[in-house]
Amino acid sequence: MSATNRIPVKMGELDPGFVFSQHSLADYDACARRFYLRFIARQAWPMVEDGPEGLSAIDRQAYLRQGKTLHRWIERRLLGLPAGADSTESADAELVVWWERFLATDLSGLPARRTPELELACVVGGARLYARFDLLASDEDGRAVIVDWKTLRGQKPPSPAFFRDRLQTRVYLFALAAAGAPFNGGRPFDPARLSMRYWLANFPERPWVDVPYRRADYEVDRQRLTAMVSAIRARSGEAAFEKTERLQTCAMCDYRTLCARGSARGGVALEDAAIALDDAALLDDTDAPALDA
Amino acid sequence: MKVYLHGPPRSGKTARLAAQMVEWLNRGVRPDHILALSASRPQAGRFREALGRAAATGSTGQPRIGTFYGLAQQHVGLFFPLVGQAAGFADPRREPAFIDVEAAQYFLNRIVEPRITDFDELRLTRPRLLGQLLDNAHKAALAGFGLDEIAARLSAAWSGDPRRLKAYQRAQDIALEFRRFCLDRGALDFSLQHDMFARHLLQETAYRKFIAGQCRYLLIDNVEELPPIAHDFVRLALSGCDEAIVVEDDPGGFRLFLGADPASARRLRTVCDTVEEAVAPIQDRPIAMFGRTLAAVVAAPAEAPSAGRAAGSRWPRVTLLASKSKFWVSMVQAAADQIIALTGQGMPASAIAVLAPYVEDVLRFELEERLRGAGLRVRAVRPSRPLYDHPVARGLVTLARLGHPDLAAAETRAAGVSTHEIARALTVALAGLDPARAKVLADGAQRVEAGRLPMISDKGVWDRAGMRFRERYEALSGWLSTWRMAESTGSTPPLDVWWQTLFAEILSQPGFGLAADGDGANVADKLVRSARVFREALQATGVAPAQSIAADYVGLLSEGVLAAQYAPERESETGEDGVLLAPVYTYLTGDYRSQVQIWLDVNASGWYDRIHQALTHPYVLSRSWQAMQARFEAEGQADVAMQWSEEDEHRARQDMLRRVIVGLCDRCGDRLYLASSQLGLSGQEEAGALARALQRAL
Ligand code: SF4
Repeated sequence: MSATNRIPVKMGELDPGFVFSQHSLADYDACARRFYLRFIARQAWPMVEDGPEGLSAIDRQAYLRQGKTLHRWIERRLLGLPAGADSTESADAELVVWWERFLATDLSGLPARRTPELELACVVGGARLYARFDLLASDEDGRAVIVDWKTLRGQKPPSPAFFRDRLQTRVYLFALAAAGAPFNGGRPFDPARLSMRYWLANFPERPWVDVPYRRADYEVDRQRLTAMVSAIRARSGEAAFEKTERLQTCAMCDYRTLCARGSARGGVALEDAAIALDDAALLDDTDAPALDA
Repeated sequence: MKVYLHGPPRSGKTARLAAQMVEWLNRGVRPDHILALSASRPQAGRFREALGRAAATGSTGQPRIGTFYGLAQQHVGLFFPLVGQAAGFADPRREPAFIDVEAAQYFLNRIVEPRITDFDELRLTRPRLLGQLLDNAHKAALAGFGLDEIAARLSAAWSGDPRRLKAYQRAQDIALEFRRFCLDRGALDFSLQHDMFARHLLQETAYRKFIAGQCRYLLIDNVEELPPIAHDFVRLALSGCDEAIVVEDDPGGFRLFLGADPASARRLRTVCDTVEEAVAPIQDRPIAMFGRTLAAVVAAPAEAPSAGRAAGSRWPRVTLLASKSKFWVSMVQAAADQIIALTGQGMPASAIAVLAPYVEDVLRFELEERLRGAGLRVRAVRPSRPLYDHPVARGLVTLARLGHPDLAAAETRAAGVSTHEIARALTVALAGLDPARAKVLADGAQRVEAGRLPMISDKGVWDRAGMRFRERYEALSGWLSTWRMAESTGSTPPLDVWWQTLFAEILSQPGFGLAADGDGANVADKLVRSARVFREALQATGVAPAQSIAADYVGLLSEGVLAAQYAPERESETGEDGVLLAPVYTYLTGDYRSQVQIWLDVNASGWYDRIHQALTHPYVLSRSWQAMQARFEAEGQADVAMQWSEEDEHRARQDMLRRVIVGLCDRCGDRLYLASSQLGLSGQEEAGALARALQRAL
């Protein structure tokens, strides 16, 4: 029995129309093989989806559902619709707490023009890079804030540096600077006028973390994202997508039995895993075509 | 400018839509103000492909792209608090649960169960009965009328045995009860979503404003394949948008089963600024010309003079194949010979399509066998096989019956798992175990304990089955028995999570059946997701205790009631190379095009016959029928005129056949081969309308 099971997939090329996103790039960043298995071979591997910090598969599913509902309620609120949460007795207790915290959050400091659930795509290395903002707040004079509603749990919120460095932040801010002109009266946004805000539903003592953007950041992001996309597009065939050498990355990876890189059960909780779980609440909406039934 | 663009396939309409989208983006239009809708997901993919190509020139932006059905679902979910009460939800403040066809069939089954004998005289299997009852609700929603009109419409159209009228009334009562059930439990099935969309959301001022603000630029592809309520939406969007192109493929309306209504689509012409015809010069397209001639013959009276020339003279690019063959296999052989000859002359295999009214496994197999020798592959795009027909899905169900606490208890009371089922499950679970050895093991296990997978100490069994399987067999047996012994409690994992645990701890481990079987893992994943969606629907609506959900799911799956889920197929199976093999309607609705088409079974009536459906009717339950009825009522002759007569059926078939002929020929670039045999696959002799028309046209 070989140490690694090979998946008999005939094709090994990335679809020429493939649209990159923060999720696919984060997978590539974690492990080239994971990117291959998920986005080229499209290999499902139905492992138990436990959450970090001992969350059972069932609790995890409930948590993801609540996250989706919260996003929906906020979107309705921003569109001026009744949110649907008037009857809190039928909603989950944690969801109600999140919702009440959202209602108590002062958003008046954000630019006045609000566009919820905005999809954006820019071009990097000849390929499309997709982002979906929970909210874009912008104003006439070119200031814009991307807002992301986060329901991640934990003893304390991750550090500002953690938010600053994660691929979601880099991709979102870059995409807005690169392709945001239609949302700024036809003029590209000046990166120095952009920022990203993570609103934290579970940390009322620190309800949000702001990440500012600068022109130099834009250039660094451009080079990094271009290099990533180009490197992926230059690879061909399963063998070109190697396994990561960081074994701790495999501990929480769905493919760990396929790669002979871990046990049936997931590994220890990592800060990154906590936030990855949080993101998964919108994974379907984000990577799937938005309107497809 | 709002343009209604119609024309045949291959006249550049879709390319124009895609170019327009890119032009708007390049012009600086806000991408989120562009809405591009198609009739199906693959067709929506063309917009994405255009964006991918435009990326090479730096074009950015993400328009809203998708299907009408996806848009309706998304908007009903978002605007639910505005319309939930008007739609009749018992608790409109609660978030609704979207349920899929499987869960809908389950709920419907519960309603039908006590009255199943009411439908005995129709002699329908349970899956077909449920399918037709649900279909009525879908058709009503997509045409935009209430469920309480179903019986009146079907009854007015019926001219046969009066007992059928009772069946229509019962079908309507069940549809209404199902609707009440969904409203009481906060469940949104396909029919209720679309009913809410059409009858409530489209009337809501806030929604109309939202659409006016969001849909400034509109692209609609294949509008003729959309149902009337989609046309209502398009009409609304057109009234407030800045620019639009609405494209109609003519002929079209092949998605009859999803309420496609070309006549309703055409009424949108009046709200566009201009109507343009996309022209594809017919004289340059001999097969398209042939298609129109043949379609005209279908419509002409039988005694009309034949166009009367032999194939090969008037239509040099149309050839009859195997017309004197008696047997079906000879026809397939003739088709294969022709394909080999064509590819020998340099025609790429991927440019050839073999089309038949139905594509059964035997046709695929026979064609593959005959082409393999020439190194040619077949890529079949027939509808996929149901999930439960896949050995991996069946194996996983059997293992669950042997080990899941909620199911194993039920098995003890029931007949139990058979030796045959255990043997098949073992071939799935243990890598390298062939059916003969699996049978030895299953027999050995049954001698120890029937209906279980116990440890086997009999050395003779292992000598015959192979000692190398023993360790793995025992691991599986021990794992299942540990679970089986566990009491069924509130903390028992639901079936989907239990299957995932089995996969993680056993089946994906080295030496077990799915460790190196990517396709098998995909099937397992699909089964897990299907079971999860089913469980979540039941939990959200609170209709069944947690402990019975697994048994309900497995029971309905094995009865064929939950047939909506299909086994996933790898891209490589349906990839671009190889000869395309497809049922006619799949080819048309998927909008395929080919240089060469080979039509098989041209004698068959399946080219235009509808599947007989006792309880539903695509024409009577349509909006066009409603319009016709209103007209007749105005003329004071509603009763007689609204019956669906033999003549109506004949006309509908003829009309469909004409559209199929023209639709196929318009999609054929160079050569057409028509193949038939005197006897069909099951030995019956047929001489359908297509064959008769061909005799006269050629
Ligand atoms: S298990 Fe490890 S090597 Fe395999 S895909 Fe996951 S991260 Fe990569």
